[in-house]
Formats: sequence, structure tokens, C-alpha cells
Amino acid sequence: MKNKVKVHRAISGITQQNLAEQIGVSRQTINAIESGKYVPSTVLSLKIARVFEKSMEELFSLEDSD
Amino acid sequence: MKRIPLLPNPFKKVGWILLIASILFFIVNVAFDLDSEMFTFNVFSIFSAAGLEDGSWFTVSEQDISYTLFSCVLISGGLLVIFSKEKVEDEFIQSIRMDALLWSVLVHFILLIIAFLSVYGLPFLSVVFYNTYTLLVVFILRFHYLLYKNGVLSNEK
Repeated sequence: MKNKVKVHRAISGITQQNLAEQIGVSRQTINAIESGKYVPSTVLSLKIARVFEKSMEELFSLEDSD
Repeated sequence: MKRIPLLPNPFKKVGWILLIASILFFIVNVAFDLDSEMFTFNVFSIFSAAGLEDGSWFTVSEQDISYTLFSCVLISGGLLVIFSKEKVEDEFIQSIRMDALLWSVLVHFILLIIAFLSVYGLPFLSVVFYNTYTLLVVFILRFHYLLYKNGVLSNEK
């Protein structure tokens, strides 16, 4: 799964730490999500989408390998 | 999602202390060949047997409890380390926990199969005794390796 969390975070001017605090995870989790090492659960994805006021499809998309 | 509730983070420190204490106790006990009289007490047992005799149920007898002590402290320490929350416990940590669990079960049973195939007679018992701890040890090693790799331990990345 691809995600544009890093891009939207940059646009909104939010740090990893800040985003992490808003959705109640560690900064390393945000880092792992952004680098594609960890695929977040639906609940966490929805929380991230809510912070950026975007729909989930704008942030996350399937890859051919999925 | 509901999961097994974990203990608060400070219990992890207690776990490490018990774990290290038990390992030091084991090393000192083996290295200095401590007098087993020191650890011989009257203890209650559900079943006990000396050597190859028949054994008896529900008795109180004099036993060397050094292994009992070592094992109980090691296992409680290990369980506290494994079942305590990280500072920020989230679903990423939970996925690391799951990874470590699968690894430890796999390594434990592969070693057991190797032991079954290659060790016979009484020494097999001591191999099984030590293999009991591979579950704990491999879990702790794998879990902390992954935490370290993802910068959770060092608070980097």
C-alpha cells in the first residue's frame, strides 16, 4: 500500500511528533508508516485522514502487489 | 481491537532486574559450585521422586531448591518484560510483539525437534529444561532488536 502521509504532513506543516501525539501513537510509528514499513490499521488510517481533513483514498492507495 | 491487557510500563524495569538477578545467580552458582546445602529446604511437593524410585504424592521433603529459585525468578522476570507496555504502546509495537512471538515459537520448536533427533537418554532432559527458556529469550531478543531497528529504543528516526 502506498501512502502520501509525508506529503500531506509537509503541506500542513505538521511534524512527525505532532501528528503522532494527535493520533496517540509514537513518532517511530509515523516514521514506519511514511517509509512504507508498516501498514496502519483502518482505525489509525481514519485518524490520520481526520487530522488532514482528507478522505482515506487521498492518503492511501493500493499498489499492484497488493 | 481487544487484546490481552498489558501491565504498565514500570513493571518492565522490575522484570529486567529479576531477569538479570536470576542469570547472575545461575552463573555464580555454576562458576563457584555453591554448596547445595545452602539451598536445601523442607518443601511441599505434589509429586516427588529421588532418582528412579517410585516417588510419592503430597509430601514434605528436603530438596535443593536452587533450580526452583532460578527458574521461577527467571520466568517471572521474563514474563514481566514481555507483558509490560512500552512507553508509547501502539499498534505498531503490537505488530512487533506478534512478530517476536511467532519467531520465538518457531525457534523453540525447531530446537526441540533437533533435540529429539539428536540427543538421547538422560541428557535429553537437561536439553529440554534449557530449551524451555528459548521461548522467553528469543522473544525478548527479537522484540528488542525490532524496537532498536525502528528507533523506538533510542528514540531516533
